[in-house]
Amino acid sequence: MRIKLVLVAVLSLSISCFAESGEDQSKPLPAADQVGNISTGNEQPVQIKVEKKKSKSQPSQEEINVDKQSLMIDYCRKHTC
Amino acid sequence: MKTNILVSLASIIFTGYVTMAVSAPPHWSYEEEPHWGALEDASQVVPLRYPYAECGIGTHQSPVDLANARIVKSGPLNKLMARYGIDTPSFINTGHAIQVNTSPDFTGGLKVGKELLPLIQLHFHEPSEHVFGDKKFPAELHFVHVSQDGKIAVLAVTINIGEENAVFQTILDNMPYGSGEENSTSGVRFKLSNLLPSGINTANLEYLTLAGSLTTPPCSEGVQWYVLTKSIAISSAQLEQMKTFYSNNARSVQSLNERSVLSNR
Repeated sequence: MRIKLVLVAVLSLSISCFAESGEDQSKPLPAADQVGNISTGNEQPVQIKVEKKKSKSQPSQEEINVDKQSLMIDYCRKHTC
Repeated sequence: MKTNILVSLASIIFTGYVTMAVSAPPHWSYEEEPHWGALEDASQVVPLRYPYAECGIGTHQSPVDLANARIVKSGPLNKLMARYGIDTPSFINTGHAIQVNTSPDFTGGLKVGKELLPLIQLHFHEPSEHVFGDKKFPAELHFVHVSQDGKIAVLAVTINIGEENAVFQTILDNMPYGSGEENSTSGVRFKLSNLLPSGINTANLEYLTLAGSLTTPPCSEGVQWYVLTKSIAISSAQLEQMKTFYSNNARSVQSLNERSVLSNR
């Protein structure tokens, strides 16, 4: 009985870990949900809102470059490069 | 019976999760160099299963034989300026080379034209990686820089045997022997430009340049190489001391594949 309890705990921990890692992958999904809400109610203002949100969520080229640079710096400090 | 099934299920799920969590790039060594491209990461699927594939199939790989290259004396090349000031760096034994990392607040770097590329680290190979026909130097120093868009530029300096080099001795004396160890508490300060050839104009370096790659796995291409035409010197005793850390940590010469080498001389 004890073994079963331990195994159930292990399984639930594993599943919760997988669920967490799945959350990261599903991060782009909220944008799709927002698109779905456009058809309800006052269309024009909502569409503008969504566009604004989209432009905020897309990183600028400068931000992408900073990210690339910091990743590469981190790599080259740890490895011979 | 049910217990057995549960045990199997739990072990499969846990093994899978742990494998995913701790997945690291495969270990490599210089003895395995001919097979770097085929080294496998068993936790990944194709093509990620071969994270060092570029070492085997890349067409712009480094190092190269510069005597075998078509050297174009190009006029309007970028002016190269080494701004390697005083720093309190850390000393790292990476497991493949001895390396000096600049401190996070170090502001020096390599100025290529108008852009200043921060100096991130410098490390040593024994013998030299770049060769000039039959001539291979006893060692080679690489200054590694990362540009604002994440691209790497390396300034390579060949090393000859001569007088003792005080800065190099400081590096040797502070380098930890254990693979993967770091000495970041030495507090040692020195001028990094003292590792450049003496008597050169650091505001307008003479160089050869070509497009290449990292010389270690994953051998990523898109690295711009600048090879100084003058060497620095270390003593033979210092070379022997360096070899107590690593020896033969140099990749063999790669095909030029029609690449041109530009010179500003």
